[in-house]
Amino acid sequence: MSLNSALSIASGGLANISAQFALISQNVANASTPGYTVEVGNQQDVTAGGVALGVQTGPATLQIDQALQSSVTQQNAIVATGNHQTALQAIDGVLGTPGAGSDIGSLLGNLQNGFSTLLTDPSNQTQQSAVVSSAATLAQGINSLSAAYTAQRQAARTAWDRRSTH
Amino acid sequence: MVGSVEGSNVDIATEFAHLIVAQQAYSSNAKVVTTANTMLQVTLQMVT
Repeated sequence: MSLNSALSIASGGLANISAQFALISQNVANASTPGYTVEVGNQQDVTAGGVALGVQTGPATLQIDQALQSSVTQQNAIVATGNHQTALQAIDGVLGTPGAGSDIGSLLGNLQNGFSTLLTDPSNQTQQSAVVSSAATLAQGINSLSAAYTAQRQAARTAWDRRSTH
Repeated sequence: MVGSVEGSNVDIATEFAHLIVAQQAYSSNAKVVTTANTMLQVTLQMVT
């Protein structure tokens, strides 16, 4: 080990310790800061072909409990999935089962059938009122669907606002 | 739990222990620099 490399390694060590001082003073200064996480320095020895070249200062990392962190993430995901499911189920309930008669597609089909029947005898009073009635049912279905969407949007918005305030 | 904030996880005692260790390491590194300086001066005096 030459004298020059000793000098270079020592100055590298001084730089590394200077970085550590910065981290330690940051930790001490933020000891009472809410939500602050301890920062830990990372260092590694540097060698090339068996020749020591000093110390390498890596980026600082946060000292967090990995298991706790992953558990929190998991719980958040579960809660979010539950919320989505509730909202989607409410909309699904209004949409109805396709082909069951109460969904938008069936109502539209009823209206079309009414018009087709009316085409053969346009002056038939019964057919005319049947068309009007199925049109009203379709409008009602669309309205209730729209109301359900609005309600779910509002609920999601409220939940979001509540979460973002703290 | 609504509106609560978690406190920092800084352990002051540990941090000061780190500080002392870093101080010792700094002194040791500085000592290496001083020794290298002295030895280089001896070399220069040999030349002149």
